Amino acid sequence: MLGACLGVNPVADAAGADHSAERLSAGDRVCVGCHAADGLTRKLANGDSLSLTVDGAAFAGSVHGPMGCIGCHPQVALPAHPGDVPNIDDARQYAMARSESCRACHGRVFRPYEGSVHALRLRAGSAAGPACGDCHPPHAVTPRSTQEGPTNACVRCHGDTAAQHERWLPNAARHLRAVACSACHAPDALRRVDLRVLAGGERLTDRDGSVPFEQHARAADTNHDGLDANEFRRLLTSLEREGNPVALQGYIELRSGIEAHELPPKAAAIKDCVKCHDEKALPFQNVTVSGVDADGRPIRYDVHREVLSSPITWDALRGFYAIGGTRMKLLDVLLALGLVGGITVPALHLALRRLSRRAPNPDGSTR
Amino acid sequence: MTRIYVHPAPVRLWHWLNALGFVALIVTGLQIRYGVLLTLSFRTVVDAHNAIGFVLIANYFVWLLFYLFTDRITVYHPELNPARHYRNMLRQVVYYGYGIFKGHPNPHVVSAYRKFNPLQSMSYQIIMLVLVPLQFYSGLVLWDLQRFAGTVEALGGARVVDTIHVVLCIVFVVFIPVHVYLTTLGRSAGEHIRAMLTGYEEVDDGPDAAPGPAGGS
Repeated sequence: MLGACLGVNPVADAAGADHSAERLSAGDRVCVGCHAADGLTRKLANGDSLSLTVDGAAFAGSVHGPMGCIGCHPQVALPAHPGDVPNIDDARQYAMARSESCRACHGRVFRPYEGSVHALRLRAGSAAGPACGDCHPPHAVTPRSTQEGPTNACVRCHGDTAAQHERWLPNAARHLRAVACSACHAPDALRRVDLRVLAGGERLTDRDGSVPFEQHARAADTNHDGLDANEFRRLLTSLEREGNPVALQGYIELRSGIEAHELPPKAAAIKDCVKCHDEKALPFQNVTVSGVDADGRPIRYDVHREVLSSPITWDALRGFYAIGGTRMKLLDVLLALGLVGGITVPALHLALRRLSRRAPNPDGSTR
Repeated sequence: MTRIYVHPAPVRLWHWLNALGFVALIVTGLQIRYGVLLTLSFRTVVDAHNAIGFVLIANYFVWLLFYLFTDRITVYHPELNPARHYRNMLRQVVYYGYGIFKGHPNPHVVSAYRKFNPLQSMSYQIIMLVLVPLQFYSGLVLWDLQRFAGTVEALGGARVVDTIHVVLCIVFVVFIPVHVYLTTLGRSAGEHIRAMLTGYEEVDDGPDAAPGPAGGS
Protein backbone atom coordinates (compact mmCIF):
# COMPACT_ATOMS: atom_id res chain seq x y z
CA MET A 1 0.00 0.00 0.00
CA LEU A 2 1.41 3.29 -1.10
CA GLY A 3 -0.32 5.06 1.74
CA ALA A 4 1.41 2.81 4.23
CA CYS A 5 4.70 3.38 2.45
CA LEU A 6 4.12 7.08 2.83
CA GLY A 7 3.52 6.67 6.51
CA VAL A 8 -0.12 7.61 6.17
CA ASN A 9 -2.88 5.68 7.87
CA PRO A 10 -6.08 5.31 5.88
CA VAL A 11 -8.99 6.63 7.94
CA ALA A 12 -12.70 6.99 7.46
CA ASP A 13 -14.79 9.88 8.78
CA ALA A 14 -18.08 9.54 10.57
CA ALA A 15 -19.88 9.37 7.25
CA GLY A 16 -17.85 6.34 6.27
CA ALA A 17 -16.00 8.05 3.42
CA ASP A 18 -12.47 6.81 2.84
CA HIS A 19 -10.01 9.64 3.28
CA SER A 20 -6.84 7.72 2.64
CA ALA A 21 -3.92 9.62 1.22
CA GLU A 22 -4.30 7.49 -1.92
CA ARG A 23 -6.89 10.00 -3.05
CA LEU A 24 -4.13 12.58 -3.40
CA SER A 25 -2.42 13.21 -6.69
CA ALA A 26 0.97 11.63 -7.31
CA GLY A 27 2.67 14.99 -6.77
CA ASP A 28 0.87 15.58 -3.48
CA ARG A 29 1.80 12.12 -2.30
CA VAL A 30 5.41 13.03 -2.82
CA CYS A 31 4.92 16.12 -0.63
CA VAL A 32 3.10 14.16 2.04
CA GLY A 33 5.79 11.50 1.82
CA CYS A 34 8.06 13.85 3.72
CA HIS A 35 5.57 16.10 5.51
CA ALA A 36 3.62 13.24 7.13
CA ALA A 37 6.55 12.56 9.37
CA ASP A 38 5.82 13.31 13.00
CA GLY A 39 8.01 15.98 14.50
CA LEU A 40 9.03 17.54 11.17
CA THR A 41 9.85 21.10 12.13
CA ARG A 42 11.76 24.08 10.90
CA LYS A 43 13.87 26.38 12.99
CA LEU A 44 12.76 30.00 12.65
CA ALA A 45 14.85 33.15 12.79
CA ASN A 46 13.53 34.00 16.27
CA GLY A 47 14.52 30.59 17.56
CA ASP A 48 11.04 29.08 17.58
CA SER A 49 10.12 25.92 15.76
CA LEU A 50 7.41 25.70 13.10
CA SER A 51 5.71 22.35 12.66
CA LEU A 52 5.73 21.19 9.04
CA THR A 53 3.82 17.96 9.66
CA VAL A 54 0.73 17.39 7.51
CA ASP A 55 -1.66 14.47 8.09
CA GLY A 56 -2.02 13.18 4.55
CA ALA A 57 -5.30 11.36 5.21
CA ALA A 58 -6.87 14.41 6.80
CA PHE A 59 -5.65 16.58 3.94
CA ALA A 60 -7.02 14.16 1.34
CA GLY A 61 -10.43 14.33 3.04
CA SER A 62 -10.38 18.09 3.48
CA VAL A 63 -12.01 20.57 1.13
CA HIS A 64 -8.51 21.61 0.09
CA GLY A 65 -7.44 18.10 -0.87
CA PRO A 66 -8.67 18.35 -4.50
CA MET A 67 -6.68 21.58 -4.94
CA GLY A 68 -3.51 19.81 -4.03
CA CYS A 69 -0.52 21.23 -2.20
CA ILE A 70 0.34 23.54 -5.08
CA GLY A 71 -3.03 25.29 -4.68
CA CYS A 72 -1.77 27.21 -1.66
CA HIS A 73 1.97 26.68 -1.99
CA PRO A 74 2.65 27.55 -5.66
CA GLN A 75 6.11 28.81 -4.88
CA VAL A 76 7.27 25.37 -3.79
CA ALA A 77 8.91 23.43 -6.64
CA LEU A 78 10.46 20.08 -6.00
CA PRO A 79 13.84 20.24 -7.61
CA ALA A 80 14.79 23.19 -5.47
CA HIS A 81 12.66 22.33 -2.42
CA PRO A 82 13.38 22.27 0.45
CA GLY A 83 16.56 24.18 -0.17
CA ASP A 84 14.91 27.30 -1.59
CA VAL A 85 12.37 28.04 1.17
CA PRO A 86 12.26 31.71 2.12
CA ASN A 87 13.33 32.87 5.54
CA ILE A 88 10.59 32.95 8.18
CA ASP A 89 11.20 35.25 11.12
CA ASP A 90 8.48 33.89 13.38
CA ALA A 91 5.42 31.67 13.29
CA ARG A 92 3.05 34.60 13.69
CA GLN A 93 4.39 36.37 10.65
CA TYR A 94 4.16 33.15 8.70
CA ALA A 95 0.53 32.56 9.70
CA MET A 96 -0.40 36.07 8.57
CA ALA A 97 1.38 35.57 5.28
CA ARG A 98 -0.40 32.25 4.71
CA SER A 99 -3.76 33.95 5.31
CA GLU A 100 -3.16 35.94 2.15
CA SER A 101 -3.35 32.76 0.10
CA CYS A 102 -6.80 32.12 1.68
CA ARG A 103 -7.93 35.50 0.34
CA ALA A 104 -7.46 34.31 -3.25
CA CYS A 105 -10.43 31.96 -2.92
CA HIS A 106 -12.28 33.25 0.18
CA GLY A 107 -12.28 36.95 -0.66
CA ARG A 108 -15.91 37.48 0.45
CA VAL A 109 -15.07 36.33 3.94
CA PHE A 110 -12.28 38.85 4.26
CA ARG A 111 -14.59 41.85 4.02
CA PRO A 112 -16.35 41.14 7.35
CA TYR A 113 -13.20 39.63 8.83
CA GLU A 114 -11.07 42.73 8.22
CA GLY A 115 -13.26 44.74 10.60
CA SER A 116 -13.46 42.05 13.24
CA VAL A 117 -11.79 42.13 16.63
CA HIS A 118 -9.76 39.15 15.51
CA ALA A 119 -8.27 41.00 12.53
CA LEU A 120 -7.71 44.15 14.62
CA ARG A 121 -5.79 42.14 17.21
CA LEU A 122 -3.81 40.39 14.53
CA ARG A 123 -2.83 43.63 12.84
CA ALA A 124 -1.89 45.10 16.22
CA GLY A 125 0.58 42.27 16.65
CA SER A 126 -1.30 40.55 19.44
CA ALA A 127 -0.45 36.90 19.89
CA ALA A 128 -4.15 36.38 20.65
CA GLY A 129 -5.26 37.54 17.21
CA PRO A 130 -6.12 34.48 15.16
CA ALA A 131 -5.14 34.10 11.51
CA CYS A 132 -7.34 32.00 9.21
CA GLY A 133 -5.56 28.76 9.93
CA ASP A 134 -5.93 29.10 13.68
CA CYS A 135 -9.68 28.54 13.43
CA HIS A 136 -9.79 26.58 10.17
CA PRO A 137 -6.76 24.25 10.05
CA PRO A 138 -6.14 24.38 6.28
CA HIS A 139 -4.91 20.82 5.92
CA ALA A 140 -7.93 19.32 7.67
CA VAL A 141 -10.87 21.66 7.06
CA THR A 142 -14.05 19.81 6.03
CA PRO A 143 -17.67 20.82 5.50
CA ARG A 144 -18.36 19.30 8.90
CA SER A 145 -15.54 21.15 10.65
CA THR A 146 -16.66 24.37 8.94
CA GLN A 147 -19.98 23.96 10.74
CA GLU A 148 -18.87 22.47 14.02
CA GLY A 149 -15.29 23.62 14.12
CA PRO A 150 -15.63 27.34 14.67
CA THR A 151 -17.43 26.86 17.97
CA ASN A 152 -14.76 24.45 19.07
CA ALA A 153 -12.12 26.84 17.77
CA CYS A 154 -13.64 29.66 19.84
CA VAL A 155 -13.43 27.56 22.98
CA ARG A 156 -9.90 26.46 22.10
CA CYS A 157 -8.69 30.02 22.65
CA HIS A 158 -11.47 31.31 24.89
CA GLY A 159 -11.12 28.52 27.39
CA ASP A 160 -13.04 30.36 30.09
CA THR A 161 -16.14 30.72 27.91
CA ALA A 162 -18.35 28.63 30.18
CA ALA A 163 -17.18 30.37 33.36
CA GLN A 164 -17.51 33.83 31.79
CA HIS A 165 -21.09 33.17 30.71
CA GLU A 166 -22.04 31.52 34.01
CA ARG A 167 -21.39 34.89 35.68
CA TRP A 168 -24.31 36.62 34.02
CA LEU A 169 -26.24 34.26 31.77
CA PRO A 170 -28.93 32.07 33.37
CA ASN A 171 -28.76 28.45 32.24
CA ALA A 172 -25.44 29.28 30.55
CA ALA A 173 -24.56 25.69 29.68
CA ARG A 174 -27.90 25.28 27.90
CA HIS A 175 -27.37 28.50 26.00
CA LEU A 176 -23.88 27.46 24.92
CA ARG A 177 -25.24 24.14 23.65
CA ALA A 178 -28.16 25.63 21.74
CA VAL A 179 -26.69 28.89 20.45
CA ALA A 180 -23.69 29.32 18.17
CA CYS A 181 -21.08 31.73 19.54
CA SER A 182 -21.43 33.89 16.44
CA ALA A 183 -25.22 34.15 16.89
CA CYS A 184 -24.58 36.59 19.75
CA HIS A 185 -21.05 37.77 18.93
CA ALA A 186 -21.93 38.89 15.39
CA PRO A 187 -24.89 41.01 16.50
CA ASP A 188 -25.75 42.49 13.11
CA ALA A 189 -25.86 39.18 11.28
CA LEU A 190 -29.04 37.38 10.28
CA ARG A 191 -29.86 34.45 12.52
CA ARG A 192 -32.05 31.40 12.21
CA VAL A 193 -33.15 28.29 14.05
CA ASP A 194 -31.82 25.09 12.56
CA LEU A 195 -33.64 21.99 13.74
CA ARG A 196 -30.97 19.35 13.51
CA VAL A 197 -32.19 15.82 13.04
CA LEU A 198 -30.39 13.39 15.31
CA ALA A 199 -30.31 9.61 15.00
CA GLY A 200 -28.70 7.67 17.80
CA GLY A 201 -27.56 10.93 19.37
CA GLU A 202 -25.57 11.99 16.28
CA ARG A 203 -26.61 14.21 13.40
CA LEU A 204 -28.53 12.23 10.81
CA THR A 205 -26.10 11.52 7.98
CA ASP A 206 -26.82 10.23 4.48
CA ARG A 207 -25.35 6.80 3.94
CA ASP A 208 -24.90 4.59 0.93
CA GLY A 209 -28.12 2.84 0.04
CA SER A 210 -30.34 5.09 2.14
CA VAL A 211 -32.68 7.73 0.78
CA PRO A 212 -30.91 11.10 1.15
CA PHE A 213 -32.31 13.51 3.73
CA GLU A 214 -33.12 16.10 1.09
CA GLN A 215 -35.23 13.60 -0.84
CA HIS A 216 -37.22 12.82 2.31
CA ALA A 217 -37.79 16.54 2.88
CA ARG A 218 -38.87 17.21 -0.70
CA ALA A 219 -41.27 14.27 -0.61
CA ALA A 220 -42.84 15.55 2.62
CA ASP A 221 -43.18 19.10 1.27
CA THR A 222 -46.31 18.53 -0.78
CA ASN A 223 -46.92 22.27 -1.31
CA HIS A 224 -43.30 22.97 -2.24
CA ASP A 225 -43.30 26.02 0.01
CA GLY A 226 -41.32 24.70 2.96
CA LEU A 227 -42.56 22.28 5.59
CA ASP A 228 -45.61 23.19 7.61
CA ALA A 229 -46.36 21.40 10.89
CA ASN A 230 -48.09 18.43 9.27
CA GLU A 231 -45.44 18.09 6.60
CA PHE A 232 -42.77 18.36 9.25
CA ARG A 233 -44.29 15.45 11.13
CA ARG A 234 -44.50 13.53 7.88
CA LEU A 235 -40.78 14.12 7.33
CA LEU A 236 -39.92 12.76 10.79
CA THR A 237 -42.14 9.72 10.23
CA SER A 238 -40.51 9.14 6.87
CA LEU A 239 -37.02 9.37 8.40
CA GLU A 240 -37.95 6.97 11.18
CA ARG A 241 -39.10 4.41 8.64
CA GLU A 242 -35.48 4.31 7.47
CA GLY A 243 -34.25 2.98 10.75
CA ASN A 244 -33.50 4.57 14.12
CA PRO A 245 -35.90 6.84 15.94
CA VAL A 246 -34.98 10.43 15.28
CA ALA A 247 -34.86 13.38 17.63
CA LEU A 248 -34.41 17.09 17.05
CA GLN A 249 -31.88 19.52 18.43
CA GLY A 250 -32.72 23.18 17.96
CA TYR A 251 -29.72 25.36 17.26
CA ILE A 252 -29.62 29.12 16.82
CA GLU A 253 -26.96 30.04 14.29
CA LEU A 254 -26.14 32.56 11.61
CA ARG A 255 -27.74 32.21 8.21
CA SER A 256 -24.40 32.88 6.54
CA GLY A 257 -21.02 31.61 7.64
CA ILE A 258 -19.47 34.67 6.03
CA GLU A 259 -21.15 36.95 8.57
CA ALA A 260 -19.75 34.81 11.34
CA HIS A 261 -16.40 36.48 10.66
CA GLU A 262 -17.50 40.02 11.47
CA LEU A 263 -16.98 39.62 15.19
CA PRO A 264 -16.83 42.99 16.99
CA PRO A 265 -15.31 43.38 20.47
CA LYS A 266 -17.31 41.35 22.98
CA ALA A 267 -18.83 44.47 24.53
CA ALA A 268 -20.92 44.72 21.35
CA ALA A 269 -22.22 41.15 21.62
CA ILE A 270 -25.92 40.60 22.15
CA LYS A 271 -26.83 40.57 25.83
CA ASP A 272 -30.43 41.62 25.46
CA CYS A 273 -32.51 38.51 26.18
CA VAL A 274 -35.44 39.60 24.03
CA LYS A 275 -33.28 39.29 20.95
CA CYS A 276 -34.30 35.65 21.28
CA HIS A 277 -36.88 35.45 24.07
CA ASP A 278 -39.60 37.07 22.04
CA GLU A 279 -41.89 35.48 19.52
CA LYS A 280 -40.99 38.16 16.99
CA ALA A 281 -37.24 37.73 17.53
CA LEU A 282 -35.19 37.37 14.38
CA PRO A 283 -34.03 33.76 14.78
CA PHE A 284 -37.58 32.45 14.92
CA GLN A 285 -38.52 34.05 11.62
CA ASN A 286 -36.16 31.76 9.72
CA VAL A 287 -36.38 28.08 10.52
CA THR A 288 -34.75 25.13 8.80
CA VAL A 289 -34.49 21.43 9.41
CA SER A 290 -31.22 19.76 8.54
CA GLY A 291 -29.44 16.49 8.00
CA VAL A 292 -25.89 15.95 6.83
CA ASP A 293 -24.75 14.58 3.48
CA ALA A 294 -22.10 11.92 3.09
CA ASP A 295 -19.34 14.57 3.00
CA GLY A 296 -20.50 16.07 6.27
CA ARG A 297 -22.13 19.05 4.57
CA PRO A 298 -25.38 20.19 6.23
CA ILE A 299 -28.44 19.87 4.01
CA ARG A 300 -31.05 22.37 5.16
CA TYR A 301 -34.68 22.55 4.22
CA ASP A 302 -36.99 25.47 4.93
CA VAL A 303 -39.60 25.05 7.63
CA HIS A 304 -42.56 27.29 8.41
CA ARG A 305 -41.95 29.23 11.61
CA GLU A 306 -45.28 27.99 13.01
CA VAL A 307 -43.63 24.61 13.49
CA LEU A 308 -41.95 26.05 16.59
CA SER A 309 -45.27 26.83 18.25
CA SER A 310 -47.65 24.24 16.87
CA PRO A 311 -49.20 21.57 19.09
CA ILE A 312 -48.74 19.17 16.16
CA THR A 313 -44.96 19.35 16.56
CA TRP A 314 -44.94 19.87 20.34
CA ASP A 315 -43.73 16.36 21.02
CA ALA A 316 -41.02 16.41 18.33
CA LEU A 317 -39.66 19.72 19.63
CA ARG A 318 -39.98 18.95 23.33
CA GLY A 319 -36.27 19.53 23.87
CA PHE A 320 -36.12 22.93 22.19
CA TYR A 321 -37.76 25.79 23.99
CA ALA A 322 -36.93 29.45 24.36
CA ILE A 323 -39.20 31.09 26.93
CA GLY A 324 -41.27 33.75 25.20
CA GLY A 325 -39.86 32.83 21.82
CA THR A 326 -41.30 29.46 20.89
CA ARG A 327 -44.42 29.37 23.00
CA MET A 328 -47.27 27.09 21.99
CA LYS A 329 -50.31 28.91 20.60
CA LEU A 330 -52.74 26.44 22.14
CA LEU A 331 -51.57 27.44 25.62
CA ASP A 332 -52.09 31.10 24.74
CA VAL A 333 -55.71 30.31 23.81
CA LEU A 334 -56.24 28.30 27.01
CA LEU A 335 -54.77 31.12 29.08
CA ALA A 336 -57.09 33.64 27.45
CA LEU A 337 -60.08 31.35 28.03
CA GLY A 338 -59.01 30.83 31.65
CA LEU A 339 -58.71 34.56 32.24
CA VAL A 340 -62.08 35.29 30.65
CA GLY A 341 -63.76 32.34 32.37
CA GLY A 342 -62.25 33.15 35.76
CA ILE A 343 -63.73 36.64 35.62
CA THR A 344 -66.92 35.98 33.68
CA VAL A 345 -68.30 33.09 35.75
CA PRO A 346 -68.11 35.00 39.08
CA ALA A 347 -69.48 38.11 37.34
CA LEU A 348 -72.47 36.17 36.00
CA HIS A 349 -73.04 34.55 39.40
CA LEU A 350 -72.95 37.96 41.05
CA ALA A 351 -75.37 39.36 38.48
CA LEU A 352 -77.78 36.47 39.06
CA ARG A 353 -77.60 37.03 42.82
CA ARG A 354 -78.40 40.69 42.38
CA LEU A 355 -81.29 39.94 40.02
CA SER A 356 -82.72 37.27 42.31
CA ARG A 357 -82.62 39.70 45.24
CA ARG A 358 -84.65 42.23 43.29
CA ALA A 359 -87.29 39.68 42.28
CA PRO A 360 -90.51 40.54 44.12
CA ASN A 361 -92.00 38.08 46.56
CA PRO A 362 -95.63 37.11 46.17
CA ASP A 363 -96.54 39.69 48.83
CA GLY A 364 -94.89 42.46 46.74
CA SER A 365 -91.78 42.87 48.90
CA THR A 366 -88.20 42.18 47.74
CA ARG A 367 -85.52 40.13 49.51
CA MET B 1 -73.46 35.04 67.25
CA THR B 2 -70.10 33.68 68.28
CA ARG B 3 -66.65 34.95 67.35
CA ILE B 4 -64.40 32.03 66.64
CA TYR B 5 -60.72 31.99 65.86
CA VAL B 6 -60.60 30.30 62.46
CA HIS B 7 -57.41 31.71 60.94
CA PRO B 8 -54.34 31.55 63.24
CA ALA B 9 -51.61 34.13 62.66
CA PRO B 10 -49.22 31.84 60.70
CA VAL B 11 -52.05 30.94 58.34
CA ARG B 12 -52.96 34.58 57.82
CA LEU B 13 -49.33 35.51 57.22
CA TRP B 14 -48.93 32.66 54.77
CA HIS B 15 -52.21 33.45 53.03
CA TRP B 16 -51.61 37.13 52.33
CA LEU B 17 -47.99 36.65 51.32
CA ASN B 18 -49.08 33.79 49.10
CA ALA B 19 -51.88 35.88 47.58
CA LEU B 20 -49.61 38.81 46.79
CA GLY B 21 -46.89 36.49 45.56
CA PHE B 22 -49.16 34.54 43.24
CA VAL B 23 -50.53 37.70 41.68
CA ALA B 24 -46.97 38.98 41.23
CA LEU B 25 -45.89 35.66 39.74
CA ILE B 26 -48.78 35.72 37.28
CA VAL B 27 -48.04 39.31 36.25
CA THR B 28 -44.29 38.72 35.85
CA GLY B 29 -44.97 35.36 34.18
CA LEU B 30 -47.23 37.04 31.62
CA GLN B 31 -44.52 39.62 31.02
CA ILE B 32 -41.89 36.93 30.51
CA ARG B 33 -44.15 35.08 28.12
CA TYR B 34 -45.67 37.99 26.23
CA GLY B 35 -43.50 41.01 27.01
CA VAL B 36 -46.32 43.52 26.68
CA LEU B 37 -47.50 44.43 30.15
CA LEU B 38 -44.52 46.26 31.57
CA THR B 39 -41.55 48.22 30.34
CA LEU B 40 -39.11 46.36 32.58
CA SER B 41 -36.38 44.38 30.90
CA PHE B 42 -36.83 40.65 30.35
CA ARG B 43 -33.90 39.89 32.62
CA THR B 44 -35.23 42.06 35.45
CA VAL B 45 -38.63 40.43 35.23
CA VAL B 46 -37.13 36.92 35.16
CA ASP B 47 -35.03 37.74 38.24
CA ALA B 48 -38.08 39.15 40.01
CA HIS B 49 -40.16 36.11 39.05
CA ASN B 50 -37.48 33.78 40.40
CA ALA B 51 -37.05 35.75 43.63
CA ILE B 52 -40.78 35.83 44.30
CA GLY B 53 -40.92 32.12 43.55
CA PHE B 54 -38.28 31.36 46.17
CA VAL B 55 -40.10 33.51 48.75
CA LEU B 56 -43.30 31.61 48.08
CA ILE B 57 -41.56 28.24 48.34
CA ALA B 58 -40.29 29.27 51.78
CA ASN B 59 -43.75 30.58 52.61
CA TYR B 60 -45.27 27.24 51.58
CA PHE B 61 -43.26 25.59 54.33
CA VAL B 62 -44.75 28.04 56.85
CA TRP B 63 -48.14 26.70 55.87
CA LEU B 64 -47.02 23.08 55.72
CA LEU B 65 -45.17 23.06 59.04
CA PHE B 66 -47.95 24.92 60.82
CA TYR B 67 -50.55 22.38 59.77
CA LEU B 68 -48.27 19.38 60.26
CA PHE B 69 -47.46 20.32 63.83
CA THR B 70 -50.75 21.69 65.10
CA ASP B 71 -54.19 20.21 65.57
CA ARG B 72 -55.51 22.65 62.96
CA ILE B 73 -54.63 20.08 60.34
CA THR B 74 -58.14 18.73 60.88
CA VAL B 75 -59.42 21.42 58.52
CA TYR B 76 -57.74 19.47 55.73
CA HIS B 77 -58.85 16.02 56.87
CA PRO B 78 -60.83 14.40 54.10
CA GLU B 79 -64.27 12.97 54.67
CA LEU B 80 -63.59 9.26 54.61
CA ASN B 81 -67.19 8.21 54.10
CA PRO B 82 -67.65 8.51 50.32
CA ALA B 83 -71.43 8.65 50.48
CA ARG B 84 -71.35 11.47 53.00
CA HIS B 85 -68.52 13.18 51.11
CA TYR B 86 -70.42 13.31 47.82
CA ARG B 87 -73.71 14.13 49.49
CA ASN B 88 -72.15 17.08 51.25
CA MET B 89 -70.42 18.21 48.08
CA LEU B 90 -73.66 17.99 46.12
CA ARG B 91 -75.43 19.96 48.81
CA GLN B 92 -72.79 22.69 48.54
CA VAL B 93 -72.99 22.72 44.72
CA VAL B 94 -76.78 23.01 44.90
CA TYR B 95 -76.38 25.89 47.33
CA TYR B 96 -73.99 27.83 45.06
CA GLY B 97 -76.01 27.00 41.93
CA TYR B 98 -79.51 27.47 43.28
CA GLY B 99 -80.01 27.99 47.01
CA ILE B 100 -77.93 31.15 47.21
CA PHE B 101 -80.28 32.82 44.72
CA LYS B 102 -83.24 31.81 46.82
CA GLY B 103 -81.78 33.11 50.05
CA HIS B 104 -81.25 29.65 51.54
CA PRO B 105 -78.67 29.34 54.30
CA ASN B 106 -75.20 28.02 53.52
CA PRO B 107 -75.32 24.28 54.36
CA HIS B 108 -71.79 24.46 55.78
CA VAL B 109 -71.32 25.91 59.23
CA VAL B 110 -67.83 27.24 59.87
CA SER B 111 -65.95 26.10 62.96
CA ALA B 112 -62.34 26.43 64.03
CA TYR B 113 -61.63 22.85 63.04
CA ARG B 114 -63.96 22.59 60.06
CA LYS B 115 -63.62 25.92 58.38
CA PHE B 116 -63.78 24.57 54.82
CA ASN B 117 -66.98 23.43 53.15
CA PRO B 118 -66.72 20.08 51.28
CA LEU B 119 -65.94 21.79 47.94
CA GLN B 120 -63.27 23.99 49.51
CA SER B 121 -61.80 21.07 51.40
CA MET B 122 -61.39 18.99 48.28
CA SER B 123 -60.16 21.93 46.18
CA TYR B 124 -57.58 23.03 48.73
CA GLN B 125 -56.28 19.51 49.22
CA ILE B 126 -55.64 19.26 45.49
CA ILE B 127 -54.27 22.78 45.21
CA MET B 128 -52.01 22.76 48.25
CA LEU B 129 -50.79 19.19 48.11
CA VAL B 130 -50.53 18.64 44.35
CA LEU B 131 -50.80 21.72 42.17
CA VAL B 132 -48.81 24.26 44.21
CA PRO B 133 -45.86 21.89 44.90
CA LEU B 134 -45.86 20.86 41.24
CA GLN B 135 -45.88 24.49 40.16
CA PHE B 136 -43.01 25.31 42.51
CA TYR B 137 -40.99 22.33 41.34
CA SER B 138 -41.54 23.03 37.63
CA GLY B 139 -40.52 26.63 38.33
CA LEU B 140 -37.38 25.45 40.10
CA VAL B 141 -36.49 23.25 37.13
CA LEU B 142 -36.99 26.13 34.69
CA TRP B 143 -34.90 28.37 36.95
CA ASP B 144 -31.89 26.10 36.52
CA LEU B 145 -32.37 23.51 33.79
CA GLN B 146 -28.83 22.27 34.22
CA ARG B 147 -29.14 21.59 37.92
CA PHE B 148 -32.38 19.69 37.32
CA ALA B 149 -31.22 18.07 34.09
CA GLY B 150 -32.35 14.66 35.35
CA THR B 151 -35.93 15.87 35.75
CA VAL B 152 -35.84 17.61 32.38
CA GLU B 153 -34.59 14.40 30.79
CA ALA B 154 -37.16 12.25 32.59
CA LEU B 155 -40.02 14.49 31.53
CA GLY B 156 -38.82 14.65 27.94
CA GLY B 157 -37.45 18.16 27.62
CA ALA B 158 -37.63 21.80 28.65
CA ARG B 159 -40.78 22.36 26.60
CA VAL B 160 -42.61 19.70 28.62
CA VAL B 161 -41.61 21.35 31.89
CA ASP B 162 -42.69 24.73 30.59
CA THR B 163 -46.03 23.34 29.43
CA ILE B 164 -46.69 21.92 32.91
CA HIS B 165 -45.75 25.29 34.44
CA VAL B 166 -48.02 27.25 32.10
CA VAL B 167 -50.97 24.86 32.38
CA LEU B 168 -50.80 25.15 36.18
CA CYS B 169 -50.54 28.92 35.83
CA ILE B 170 -53.78 28.83 33.82
CA VAL B 171 -55.42 26.88 36.65
CA PHE B 172 -54.35 29.59 39.13
CA VAL B 173 -55.48 32.34 36.77
CA VAL B 174 -58.95 30.77 36.91
CA PHE B 175 -58.78 30.02 40.63
CA ILE B 176 -57.81 33.45 41.93
CA PRO B 177 -60.81 35.50 40.73
CA VAL B 178 -63.20 32.66 41.60
CA HIS B 179 -61.62 32.42 45.07
CA VAL B 180 -61.88 36.17 45.60
CA TYR B 181 -65.51 36.11 44.52
CA LEU B 182 -66.35 33.22 46.85
CA THR B 183 -64.92 35.20 49.79
CA THR B 184 -67.66 37.76 49.20
CA LEU B 185 -70.44 35.22 49.78
CA GLY B 186 -70.58 35.66 53.53
CA ARG B 187 -73.29 37.54 55.36
CA SER B 188 -71.57 40.67 54.07
CA ALA B 189 -69.19 40.98 51.12
CA GLY B 190 -66.22 41.75 53.38
CA GLU B 191 -66.93 39.30 56.19
CA HIS B 192 -64.59 36.49 55.10
CA ILE B 193 -61.86 38.91 54.01
CA ARG B 194 -62.01 40.64 57.41
CA ALA B 195 -61.76 37.23 59.06
CA MET B 196 -58.57 36.49 57.10
CA LEU B 197 -57.16 39.80 58.42
CA THR B 198 -58.23 39.49 62.07
CA GLY B 199 -58.40 35.70 62.40
CA TYR B 200 -61.92 35.83 63.84
CA GLU B 201 -65.15 34.99 62.13
CA GLU B 202 -68.65 35.49 63.44
CA VAL B 203 -70.85 32.45 63.15
CA ASP B 204 -74.26 31.48 64.30
CA ASP B 205 -74.16 29.75 67.66
CA GLY B 206 -74.01 26.02 67.28
CA PRO B 207 -72.40 22.88 68.60
CA ASP B 208 -69.24 23.34 66.46
CA ALA B 209 -68.42 26.81 67.72
CA ALA B 210 -65.13 26.86 69.60
CA PRO B 211 -63.37 29.70 71.40
CA GLY B 212 -60.13 31.14 70.06
CA PRO B 213 -56.87 31.31 71.96
CA ALA B 214 -57.80 34.75 73.28
CA GLY B 215 -61.17 33.45 74.35
CA GLY B 216 -62.88 35.51 71.69
CA SER B 217 -66.56 34.92 71.36
